[in-house]
Formats: sequence, structure tokens, C-alpha cells
Amino acid sequence: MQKTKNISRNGPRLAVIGVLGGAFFVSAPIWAAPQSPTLQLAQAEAVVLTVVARDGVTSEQTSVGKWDVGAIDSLSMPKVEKDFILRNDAKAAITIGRLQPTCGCTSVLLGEGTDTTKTLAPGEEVKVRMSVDVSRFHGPIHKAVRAYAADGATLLATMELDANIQDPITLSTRQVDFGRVNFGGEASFPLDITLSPRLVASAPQLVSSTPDILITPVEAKTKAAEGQPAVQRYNVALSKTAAIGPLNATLSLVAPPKAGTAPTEDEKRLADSLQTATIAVMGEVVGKLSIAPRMVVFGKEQTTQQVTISGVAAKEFKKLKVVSSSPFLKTRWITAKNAAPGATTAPVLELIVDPKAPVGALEANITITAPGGERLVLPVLVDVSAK
Amino acid sequence: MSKTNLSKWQRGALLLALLLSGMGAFAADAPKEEAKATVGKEAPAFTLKDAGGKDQSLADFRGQNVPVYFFCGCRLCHKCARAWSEIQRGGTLEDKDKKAPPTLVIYHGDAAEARTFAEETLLDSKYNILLCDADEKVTQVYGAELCPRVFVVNREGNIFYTNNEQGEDSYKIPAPLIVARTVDALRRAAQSKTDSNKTASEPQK
Repeated sequence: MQKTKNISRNGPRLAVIGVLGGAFFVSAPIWAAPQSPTLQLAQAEAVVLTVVARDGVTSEQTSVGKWDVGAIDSLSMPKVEKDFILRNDAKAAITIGRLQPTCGCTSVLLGEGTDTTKTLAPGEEVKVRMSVDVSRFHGPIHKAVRAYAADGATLLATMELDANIQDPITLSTRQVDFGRVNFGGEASFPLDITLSPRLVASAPQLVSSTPDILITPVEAKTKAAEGQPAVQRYNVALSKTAAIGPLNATLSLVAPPKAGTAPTEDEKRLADSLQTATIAVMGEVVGKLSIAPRMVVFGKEQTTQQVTISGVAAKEFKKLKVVSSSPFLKTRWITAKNAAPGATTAPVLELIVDPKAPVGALEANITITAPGGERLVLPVLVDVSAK
Repeated sequence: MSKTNLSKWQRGALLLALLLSGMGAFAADAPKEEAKATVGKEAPAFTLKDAGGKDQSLADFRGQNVPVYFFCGCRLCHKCARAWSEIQRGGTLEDKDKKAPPTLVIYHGDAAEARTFAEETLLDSKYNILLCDADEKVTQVYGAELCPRVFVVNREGNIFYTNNEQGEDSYKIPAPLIVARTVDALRRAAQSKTDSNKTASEPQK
């Protein structure tokens, strides 16, 4: 009881002392010089690791190290690697609990790569290897890896990597849009690709991810001088038999394969570099047949979905040929009676995911062909989860 | 006041002062781990310039279920953005009135870099609002540095779904699954509102 009384009597006084004292110390870093002993103690006790300024690594703050690789092209360096050294300059041991890259393109190895955690005795050092896949970047990039303590939350050190990525390949456009094209119609685009002198000798070729896009090289009137960039000209056309539906194609450069030999390191690097030059193709082929929605996505819990076909008489829809590209995705026509509420009288196709489908992403196409030859492709994406 | 109690008060005051001074030192110098945006919590507010230089705030999209993607422009981000653009153009996100929710695309770069990324991945301005987070401040507030990250913010402004809680290794999940799960979350968010409306409109028995 005595204790309670004292607390009650002294509570307001304590609050004033505490708040004034706290306010003094909080504002101390802003105006006080020299700093209070308490603050100096708090700062000295902050647990950090030193990023050693060595081999081009600069460090303005003890626990932050930066390496600027400068201008590079992804042809000569598709993956940038740097070893940072962390040192424990404290008087007690510090444990690195995890290393966290700030990008999915960045991988990191602690020490010799066999450990995921590491305890550093005072004065001890450890190597952290940071690798950045720069193959899809353009211009300046800034990537980092953060080292956290065993609690997973206390930041011990930050290792930063800066680079300026130069493209070895220049495209006249990164996107080809055919717009809306009638089934059987024609559409084409010119495309110029400028290769750096180092790429000219490898004679890369432009290829399409789908046969619905046709690529024809256009003969150059003049040949590029040796050591100079070369321009490759192409005609990109939509096939007359391109399927009805949204166009989603990618044009990319590939180096011609050498028969019978495994690719050398240089060839692998070239293949990586060529991946930086992709052209996205979009548009839509329209015809009498149409489908809604034009793409189907199944969530984890879904096993069936329905799509509605238009442009065919109700009596004729069974003449449509329906083919699934996956054995785990089946289809059946359903009548209006069985259709989901709200379904129209137009033919309804039900898509059924086989319960035996392997866990992961199931990507498939349903191709519907009309007796007249019109072809419609329905892309389907299924998130198959573990049961 | 007894001697013992006085000592306790002094100790209490000193402890409080130490605590507050420690907070001051922490705010000034010590490393700070930002709280991540998690499911069920209010989505952290932000205002960013879009690729056209106009301010866009998350609050402007209240009343809609909105996907918010964070991309840095790496190979994985390209795959994910491309997969998302295919879903958008495939009409998968459209409602009965053929309207699709806008997607907020937060890019770790300036307007020119964001536009190049959108061009390469077919992110159409019809469906997407490109926001520039060059200094990654919003990205850090959301704990979304390890790309590609996505959040579905529901009509009430709360985080309904994120792939940020599937472990840190978002890059181990294939892009088609990231986008499929986002579509699923948007559907569930829409359904949860429908259900609550239905429940609210049902007569009490």
C-alpha cells in the first residue's frame, strides 16, 4: 500500500522529469556540443559491422560500403560480381543471421558459400560475394545486399553496387503493335536492329516465339565497314493463319548454334547478352468466332471455369473442334441448364482441371477450330497447389 | 517518501531518460528496419509522380480493389510484368461492365526508365499507372525491395493480399504463379465485398 501511495504521489513529478530529461536527450544530437555521455554510450553500443574499404569499395559510413563498377555493357559483363569484406570491429562477437539482397536479380554468398550464418569474433573478417544479373537492365542501376543480425531485424551492414548498363544492341522499336486485324488479314512492320561491332561477327538471327509471326530479313544495300556497328533490317509480318485472340509474342535474337559442340563461355555470354534485345509483339486477331473472357486464370481453389463462345449458331457449336494442349486440362460443352447463373444462351465451354495435375503453374492453350477454318486460341493459366 | 522509494523514482526517471535518449540516438544514427506492409493492415499511404509528371496518391483509388506491383526492371520483373500485361489484355480482370481495376506499377527508376520498361513488357497505359520511385522510399516502406512484389489493396484501403508473406524468395516463384495468385486475390477481394453486401442486405431473422 505504501508503495502504491508513493507512486500515486510522485507520478506527475516523475512524468515531468522523464519527459524533460527525454526531450533534452532526444534533441541533444541536433544542438548539443559536445554530446551527452548517455548519447555517446548509446551510439557506441550500436551493433554494426565494418564494410572494409578495399579493392575499390568506398565507405563513407562504417557499416555501408559501395562499389561503382561504372559503365559496362552486358555483352562483356552480363553478371557483375564483387567480393565485399565485413569486419567485426566491436569488442564482442557478432552473428550474421541472414543476408538479404534487394532484388531478385541479385544473389549472395557468405564466406565460401557453405554457411548461411556466421559468427565473427572481434577483429574477424568474412567475405560476402554479391552477384547481379544485369542482362535486362538499361542505364544506371543501384543494387544492395543487407546483412542482418541473428534476430533477423537488426541491420549490421549494407553493401551497395552501382553500374551504368550500356546496350550492345539498339532496336528501332521495343514494341510492335499490330492493332486489331481481321482473321486472314495482313499486317507488317519494318524493324531495324543495330549491333555493336563485337556482335556483328556472331551473326545473330531474329526469331519469333510463335509461328503466327513471320520474320523476313531484308538484304542490306551496303555492308557495314569492319569495326563499325551494323544495321540488320527485318520485315515482321502477321501470318494469315494467325489464331483469333490477343497476340502475345516475343521476338528475340539468337546466335546460330554450332552443331556437335558444347557452347564456350564466350558463346554463353553472347547468348545472355542477346537476351537484352527483345521486341514485344501485341495486337488482336478478330473473326466471326469470339470468346469471353479471352484468357482464363484459375486460382488455387478453382477446378472449373466457363467461357462463352460467340459467332456460331447454337445448333452448330458441336461442330467446333476443341483441342487442349495439356492432358491435365479438359473441356466439355454444357447446356444452358447446367451453365452457371448468368450464362447466356450462347455455347458455354467448361474447362476442368484434372486433380492429378502436377503442383505449380500449368500453362496451356485451348484451340477451337470452326468448320470454315477459323481458329481461336484461349490461353489458360492454372495455379495448381499441393493438396 | 522513503529512501528506498526515492531511489526507485530516480532509477525510473533515469531509465525513462535513457530510453528516450536511446530513441533519439536510434532515430539519428542507428540502422532502422521499417515495418513491412502486411495483410489486414492499412496500406501505407503514398504519393508518387506518374510517368507524365502528375501526382498520384494511393488514397485516390479508395473504393476499388487495386493491385500494386513493385518492379525494378530486372529479368524477373520483366517476366512478371509481361505475364500481367497478358492477363490484362486477355480481359481476365474485367467485370460485367468490361471494366478492369487500374494497376499501380511502382518502378524503381525515373519516368523515362519506367516508360521503357512498360514498352518492353507491354504494360498498357489503358490499364496501368506508372509511378516513379527512383529513391525507393515507398518500396522500402512496403518492404518490397526483393522484386517482384505485389500487393492487393482492397476498397477499404487495407492490404488484402501480398506475395511478400510467402517467404523472402519471391524470385523462386515463377511469374505465372505470381500473377495467377494476384488475379485470385482480386477475385476474392471483389467477392468478399459482394458477400458483405449480401449479408448486409439480408433481412435479420
